[in-house]
Amino acid sequence: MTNNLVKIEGMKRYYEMVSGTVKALDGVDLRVNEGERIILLGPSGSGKTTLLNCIAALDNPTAGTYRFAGEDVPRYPEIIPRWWNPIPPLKGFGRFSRIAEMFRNLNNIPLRLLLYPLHYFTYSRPLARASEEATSFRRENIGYVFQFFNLLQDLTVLENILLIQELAGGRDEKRARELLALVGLEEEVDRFPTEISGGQQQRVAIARSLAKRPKLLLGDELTGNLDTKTSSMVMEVLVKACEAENITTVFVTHDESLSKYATRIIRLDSGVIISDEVV
Amino acid sequence: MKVLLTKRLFRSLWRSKLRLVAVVLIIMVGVMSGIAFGHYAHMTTNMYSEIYEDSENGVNLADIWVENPRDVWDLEESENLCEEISFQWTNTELPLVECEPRFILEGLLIASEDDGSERLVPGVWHGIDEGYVDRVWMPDDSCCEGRLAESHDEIVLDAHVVEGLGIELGDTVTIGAGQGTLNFTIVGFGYHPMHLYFAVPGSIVPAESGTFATGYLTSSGLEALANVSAGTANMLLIDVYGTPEYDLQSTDEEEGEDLAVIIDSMKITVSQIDQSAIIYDRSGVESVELLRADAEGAMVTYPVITAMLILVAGITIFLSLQRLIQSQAREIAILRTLGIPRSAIMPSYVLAPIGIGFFGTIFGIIFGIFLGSPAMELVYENIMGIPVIGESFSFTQVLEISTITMLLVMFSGVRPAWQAANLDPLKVLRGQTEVKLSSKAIQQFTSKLPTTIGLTIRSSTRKPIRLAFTFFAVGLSMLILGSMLFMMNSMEDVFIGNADESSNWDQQAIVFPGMEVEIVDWAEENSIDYELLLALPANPDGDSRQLTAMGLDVFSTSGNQAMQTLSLIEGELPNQGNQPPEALVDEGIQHFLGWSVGEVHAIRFGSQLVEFKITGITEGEIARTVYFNRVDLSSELDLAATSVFLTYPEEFDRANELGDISIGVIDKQETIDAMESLMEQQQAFFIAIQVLGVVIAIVVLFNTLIINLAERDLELATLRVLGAPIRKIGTMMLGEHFAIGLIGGFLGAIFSILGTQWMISSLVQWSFYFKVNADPLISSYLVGIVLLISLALTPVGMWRVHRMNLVEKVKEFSN
Repeated sequence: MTNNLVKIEGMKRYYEMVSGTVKALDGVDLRVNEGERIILLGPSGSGKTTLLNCIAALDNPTAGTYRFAGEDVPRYPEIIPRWWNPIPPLKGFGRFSRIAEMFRNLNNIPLRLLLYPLHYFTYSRPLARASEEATSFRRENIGYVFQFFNLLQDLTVLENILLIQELAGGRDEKRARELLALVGLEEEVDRFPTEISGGQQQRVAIARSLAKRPKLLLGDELTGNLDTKTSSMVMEVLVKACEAENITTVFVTHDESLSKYATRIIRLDSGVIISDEVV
Repeated sequence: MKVLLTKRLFRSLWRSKLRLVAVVLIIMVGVMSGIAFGHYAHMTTNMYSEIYEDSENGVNLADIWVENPRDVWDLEESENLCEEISFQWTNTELPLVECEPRFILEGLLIASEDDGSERLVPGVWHGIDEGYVDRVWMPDDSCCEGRLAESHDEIVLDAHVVEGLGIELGDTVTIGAGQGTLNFTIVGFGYHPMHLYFAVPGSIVPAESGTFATGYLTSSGLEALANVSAGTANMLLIDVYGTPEYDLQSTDEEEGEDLAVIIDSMKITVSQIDQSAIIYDRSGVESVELLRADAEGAMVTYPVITAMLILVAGITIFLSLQRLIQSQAREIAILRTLGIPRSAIMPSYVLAPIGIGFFGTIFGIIFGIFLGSPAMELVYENIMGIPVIGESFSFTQVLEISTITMLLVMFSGVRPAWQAANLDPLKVLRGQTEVKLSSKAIQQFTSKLPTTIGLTIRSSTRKPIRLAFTFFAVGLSMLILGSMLFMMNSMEDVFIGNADESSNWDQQAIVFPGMEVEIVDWAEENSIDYELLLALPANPDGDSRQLTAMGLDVFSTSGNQAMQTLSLIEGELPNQGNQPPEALVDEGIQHFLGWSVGEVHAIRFGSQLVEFKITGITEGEIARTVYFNRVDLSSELDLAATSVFLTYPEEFDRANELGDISIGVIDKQETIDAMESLMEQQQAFFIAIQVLGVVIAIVVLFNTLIINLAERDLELATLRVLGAPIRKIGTMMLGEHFAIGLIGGFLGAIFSILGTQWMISSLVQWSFYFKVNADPLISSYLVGIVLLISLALTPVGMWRVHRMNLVEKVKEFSN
């Protein structure tokens, strides 16, 4: 229980907006040990989803380090080189600014065509490669459960799990059925998502996220769309499944009542951790 | 409020500029093509009426022709005929205005080549003098200058030949008509109504400039050339008061009943004096009929092409709007929840296609008037060699096309607008309307397949109506491309293939009856292979439409046994010496008259009726033809031959001796060259239409596939977040696009074949029968193009997935 699966130091995530810089994460230090069940709590805009996205390598921290199981997590350049917009934004056109912008964009096209090879080799290609590395990282290490389940409606419960296995490179129907049994849905394997309840759908989503044996399972408001009773049932299933599979979990939620399923509760506000307690 | 909602919608549309521009472009192209083709149709129709009319600028085209195909009438005979016709004329509503004897002869022009050698050019010479009917047309145009021939050694040459022969006013030309040659001074260049469509008699291919000539001499000039007595004629031109209607070959109705009655009565009158004379109205004059058929074809085709293009645009708008509504469903639901009435939501969605249609139409009108129509005039002048005259631009037609376009475009927005207004806010906000599944049958069918393949198939067939519309639109665009390819291929087969492969002769010498002996002697002296041919105009008994009766010496369907081989599709070759004589008919006759193998029918040569038994059907003839054994036909008509096929030994120097002993020479190579040149001239036009078809197919497929992908953003993003490699997603897309491309391609090819056949079947008429063959190579080419377009869109989809902002998507999942 003492091995650091996730080690984050000084993580910052800033967004440049019209209204100014938004500091979604402003220097977060976090260590997640194997087998922990962490719940991230905090008000809206506190940075908990951003942190979750950065852990999943969906988002790219502005600063700081992030190591997963002792390895650096892939990151990719996100700032478009300045020269990619050879003609700077035109100012002083008042009500005609939209036309001026259109004119600028049009005039940027031929220049961009000329610069494209440079752009491709110095920006697009490395970005695509890094993005693919991040995807591989998720495929090999991360499971993700969404608030709205996001099951593929055109596939049966079983097929939803098989699909992820196929995409990850190994179809294993036996395991898929075992996982569905683990979440109590062995009777529903041939049903379509529209034919089962929201709680059942979320259990399928949990089974799906476990299908490729992730080291870390992430959940963003995974009970946010369920009633209290169903939420408890889903959480119990999740805890049972993660314990059975020995999977570390990090969940984002608003719901304080879910704290009872956690082994550690971290609270965030304004992009910083304000409390971190082991339950 | 409505203004704000409309503004909101237009901003949303503006976000997908590429698609918007593409739709506006399709509408523009549709309207432009409609205006251009429509202009062509109106221009030609109006122009011909103007040329033919009896006015100072017109030529006063005859209404009835009485032709002596075998011999000539002397002055007394022709005057006698005219008197009899006038005497027997009983119709007071359509009184006889003029009966003008005319002498017209086929002949030759001896053209000088740059290297000093001479070349024989087949020609037709008219002895016209002043002329009251069928005058020479010399419009105020750069094409034509000079004056009419006034003395016996002057000639007006047809303006079609000026460029090819490199001649100028004042030059001297040497021409012949089977009785030696004479020199004539060129005093003018003009056109003649019987040669506006400038082709060698009996051919449907416009002659390349310099390979055929027609000239308009004084009567005395032509009489001197032919060495005949003054007043000799072989044609009577009958002018009836006004321009009476005549029976059109392309319709089943009898439009010219009054004229038909006059012709029937004339037949009785004329047959008492000359049994071999044939009588016909304007439909019997090849040039007049072909030009009319061309104008009529354009009139029939342009609304179809316009409708097809606008329909494709309409489908694209329909699909795009449906997608837009889907993506805005939440917004619409919120607006409805906030109390915005249905009546406020709907107008903006109806206005959107009207706005798009308006811009497309305006651009289409501008390009149609200033680019399409002048381009069509240029194409016309290039191919026909006639200057475009008169004001024929029809603003009514522009208005019609624009109105139909706007209505079609508006109609395409009605259903999506209705859908938008009738969205159930509660269902949308619960996310229930987002769920759209493939059919149970598809689910069952794919359940045993690997999940990735199953998902691909299910995703593609989730919206069968959209897919069907897409295939329909792709089919239409392929029809534009395919029809051109199939037609070009079939035309090449019929024109060039027939001339090249079926003709084992080098030249065909046309002779006056009896003159063939001289050619035969000459051929034998020079070891030239020859075969006699008897070809005469006739018409089915009780039918005014003309056909050609051909008497061949040898019948063969392949090899070099016969000078002219035939393509037999049914029955067998006719035997000689049976009674009634045996004959083959072409499939056009079978199509129009329903004649079949084994039946006995009759055709009329003037007033002489010849019965025959059909033993087989041939294919490949553009004009209607009946093939007899020459000996059989000859004994029926008491005529030996009208021309001689000649095949020269290798290295034979084709001297100009033929010019002295024949009245005309048709050169096989020149015919092929003319066709190839015609195809070449039209190449740019054909290619432009083909490119148009491909571009439209790209737009339609692009639109649907992008909509497909956009709809699956959620799915694809989920898979990406869960770690699906882009390569696997790409493979899935490739598979989907391959399937759509393959099915779309096959449907497109079938559409093209059926559509082209339908188009051709609606265009063919008695004088122009044509069949389109479904060439497997072209069909595969069409499938390949759609498949390629579809596959080429995979990288676009991949790029889209690459660019997908997963953080934003995850946010969407949580909202």
